[in-house]
Amino acid sequence: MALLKKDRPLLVALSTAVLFSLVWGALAGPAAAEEKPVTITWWINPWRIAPPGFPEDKAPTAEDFPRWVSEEFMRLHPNVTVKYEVLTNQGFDQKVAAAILAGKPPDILRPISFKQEWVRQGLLEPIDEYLTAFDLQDFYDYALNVGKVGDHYYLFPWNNSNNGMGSSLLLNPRMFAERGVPLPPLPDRSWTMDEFMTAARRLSYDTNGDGTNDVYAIGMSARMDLMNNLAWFHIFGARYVDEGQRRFVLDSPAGVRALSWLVDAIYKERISPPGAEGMGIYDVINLFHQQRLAIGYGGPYEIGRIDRYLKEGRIKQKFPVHVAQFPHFPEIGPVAYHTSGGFVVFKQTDPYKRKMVMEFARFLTNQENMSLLRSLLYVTARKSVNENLYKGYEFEKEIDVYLRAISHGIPYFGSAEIDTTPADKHFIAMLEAAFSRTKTPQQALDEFVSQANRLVFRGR
Amino acid sequence: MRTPPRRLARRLYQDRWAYLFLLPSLAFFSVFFLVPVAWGAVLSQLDYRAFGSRWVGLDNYRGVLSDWLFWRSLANNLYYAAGVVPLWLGKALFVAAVIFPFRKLFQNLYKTAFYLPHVTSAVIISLIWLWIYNPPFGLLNYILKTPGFAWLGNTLTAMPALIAMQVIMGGGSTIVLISAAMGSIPGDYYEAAQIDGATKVQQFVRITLPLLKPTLLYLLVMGTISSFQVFTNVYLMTRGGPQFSTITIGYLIYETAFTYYEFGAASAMAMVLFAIVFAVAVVQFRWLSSDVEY
Amino acid sequence: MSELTRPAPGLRLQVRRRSWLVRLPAGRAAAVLAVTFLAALAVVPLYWMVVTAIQAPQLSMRFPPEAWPSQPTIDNFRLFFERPNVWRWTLNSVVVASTVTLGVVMASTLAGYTFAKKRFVGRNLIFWLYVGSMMVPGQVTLIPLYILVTRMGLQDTYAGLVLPAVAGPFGAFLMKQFLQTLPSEILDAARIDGCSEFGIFRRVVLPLAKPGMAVLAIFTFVEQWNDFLWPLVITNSASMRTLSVGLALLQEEVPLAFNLLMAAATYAALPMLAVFMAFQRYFLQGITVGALKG
Repeated sequence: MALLKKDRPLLVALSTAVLFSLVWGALAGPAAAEEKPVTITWWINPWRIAPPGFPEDKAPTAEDFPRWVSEEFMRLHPNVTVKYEVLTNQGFDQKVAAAILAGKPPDILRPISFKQEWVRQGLLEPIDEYLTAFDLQDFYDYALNVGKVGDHYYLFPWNNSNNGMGSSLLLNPRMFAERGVPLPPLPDRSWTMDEFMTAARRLSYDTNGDGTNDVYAIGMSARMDLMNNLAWFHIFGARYVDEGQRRFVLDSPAGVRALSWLVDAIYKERISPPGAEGMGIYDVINLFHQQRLAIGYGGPYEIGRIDRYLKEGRIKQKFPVHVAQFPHFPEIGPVAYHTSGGFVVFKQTDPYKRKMVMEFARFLTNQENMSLLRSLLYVTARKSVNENLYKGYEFEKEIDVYLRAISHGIPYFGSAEIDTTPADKHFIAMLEAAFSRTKTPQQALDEFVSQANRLVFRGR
Repeated sequence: MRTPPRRLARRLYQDRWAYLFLLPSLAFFSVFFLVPVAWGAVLSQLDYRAFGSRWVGLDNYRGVLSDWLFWRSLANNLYYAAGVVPLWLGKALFVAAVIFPFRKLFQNLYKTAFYLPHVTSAVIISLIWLWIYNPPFGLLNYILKTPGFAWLGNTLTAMPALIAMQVIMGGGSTIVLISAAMGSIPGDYYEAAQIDGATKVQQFVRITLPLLKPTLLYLLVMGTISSFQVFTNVYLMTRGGPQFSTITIGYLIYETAFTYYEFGAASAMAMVLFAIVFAVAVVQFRWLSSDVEY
Repeated sequence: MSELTRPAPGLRLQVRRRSWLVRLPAGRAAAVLAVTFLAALAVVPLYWMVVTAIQAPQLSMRFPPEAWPSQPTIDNFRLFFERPNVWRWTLNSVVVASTVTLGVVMASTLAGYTFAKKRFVGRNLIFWLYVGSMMVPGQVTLIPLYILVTRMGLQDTYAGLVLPAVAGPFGAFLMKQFLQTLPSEILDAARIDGCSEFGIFRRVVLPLAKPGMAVLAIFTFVEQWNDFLWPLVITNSASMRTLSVGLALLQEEVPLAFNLLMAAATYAALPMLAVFMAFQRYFLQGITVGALKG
């Protein structure tokens, strides 16, 4: 680009200014900045993590971990004030959106779902410079890729996997024993679809002799946690979006087979209770807790939920629970849902503050602090931490089954490049149509795919 | 405003107390009503983002009007209004007519029964009815001996279920209003009719109904407008499902704005809703202006 | 509308009652039965809510449901109060409903008096705007209001909950209708006695406006206590939710825990039922101009 004559003075002025600021920064920058007091704000949704040395007999609240980790960081950096806020899950996205709208987002956020939109609007700091070579090979690739937009990373990975929805099943061994059904074998409790169906038919029966089943093997529901329903589709070899991230492909022959099987589970096989079109995930969890379903959904975290409900008096009777894989077809192999989450850093104007915010984000996700996720029976995003995390632990076997399950994990929603959430309500509508038999599986899927493509891939 | 400026200034000065008294109310009204209405019209033409909104003209309207879900919500809303308004008004008229001759005490007893749900919030009513409609544990399936039937999970019954709930629990204030209007009809009309040998039913049809016409029309229009804003029970009971059979405009606007943060599109929907309601209001003034003085 | 709200002279009821009973005993009896059934339908869900709330938790799923709790207990309430923020939600609801009521009554009485008794430039235009605004669906202003209040930094604050609610035009309209019946002679007499404009308002208008203000206060308070959509969108931290919103979210948190939910619903409904019982005559005399909600 050739410079015009009249631009010369401007250029001279600019370069002088740059030079001056560089010199001034070099002289006055680091020494003064280190002493500068800064305040870091961060938001997180409720994670009932027990900090180190927390009394065993007490149940941690959602405040305990954020408070501990903030204080710990302040001890290491006396000039930094760390303020945390625990947001409820309900209204979480709204609160974040409102804060962005008002121009006051927190410095660090643990988003419930990472939104690429934020990157496109230039709201987030790229974190590439703050990931060490060790980090890059210690974090699971898929965990890093959740926050990858273009060539940059925007998310410090933290938790690996979720509460287990869509990754594993829970079995009620008492009910299995009662009906003389063997549990799928350890170490990985995997079973083929044939084995699963044989067990499910035995586990669904009529207790009071009125001719209809009142105890069932497993629950289906339209408004279930999306992952559980998608897990059934993936087991049949169906995929949500295609490899090239250009369209929804759930209407493949495998997808039709999967949806037909889900409908048949209720009406033909009678291994699932009717009314699935009107039920939600909590109805299914509830039925499992009341021991009217022999198989529930979720991973080790859901075992913790049973404990919590017992303490709250919402479950009358304690019962043992085992984790198992979703069933699989031998020719396809096991599949599980895989996701992970972490922390994002919002745009900073002050270089020193940026440095400290990044420092804190790294502190949150270092090996030691990450291993605290153990109290939730979660698995972390670092390979090095997971190696010995649950050695000698009460639920070691269950965690092991779970880890083996998610080793077959894949992301169900394609890459993070696309936001499939606008399609969610159409996915639910599709299941409502199929479960109420107002549409055939093929019709329901065709309808879904056309709607979802229009909403998500309109501009592609 | 054809008054010359100086006289106008004097008028304004003379009226200063009026403006001062009006100020608190008018200030709130302007900032929190007039400004938002005007801004809503602007918003509906923006691709609104927290940073860097773009003006897109009528694109949002095009998008909204070409979205089948919007038309679906409009159709659902018509269905809902067509179900709720006549039934609710018919019920209120029937009740008011039947209890009118009662002694004051009994009248009030009935009015109280009908009014109680009206002071209970829509949230609470929705919670109770969620339980009534619950498939495995609900009262309705127990009474009808239809165990496990999902009233709210079925495209045929979900909207009727919402309508039934609204009609059964609604109408408290309407009954009171119609009763009051009936009370203002002079008694000698009826005496004259009785002397002419008209039956009770004839009297009701010939005298009561025509004289109640302004009240009923007013209620009809207000009822229609409010049923086009229905939100709380849809939000709590069905979230617009199953298969979008109960998605109403009010809920769709909420979802578009606060789930997907498409403020522009949501504002365009609101403007279309405004146009519909405005058309209804015009019809109302056409029909009512002769009978009712504001 | 004003002539519709006049209380009925009781004289002609005598004539009519006799004729009803003489002429149509069978039809009349059927009609009364039908109305009684409708009244029961409206009340039974509320009754069931209360019974479930004081019933032992393990019996809440029992069928047939008991008409009278066999094992009355306050366990459900205890469970509910053990949950975080319940007191805070109650406080928020009280603060918001009271503040809004205070603001609305003050601003509306001033404005209503001005509309009713003063002639000033722009009066008709402003009043027409007020009346017209009652036709505007809430969804139209919802989104611009949300952005406005958020940009002011007032989301999640009492100010954000209260200020927009004070802007309602209905109060001014109601007070105008009420104060129009004031004889202007009184005001003129006070003016001749050398009372200032503000003095007239304070000493003459306010005491006479009290019944109207009471009605407006009660209606506003109930409406605000039960309001849902605005508090839902403008609050997002657990400690700023109002009782209505807290209830709705509780329903998502502990779905199907009907014993707990009904205790919570009863707790939220009781204050309003008490208000209704205490001020029954205000509710039942028919000053419900346009206050029409399902």
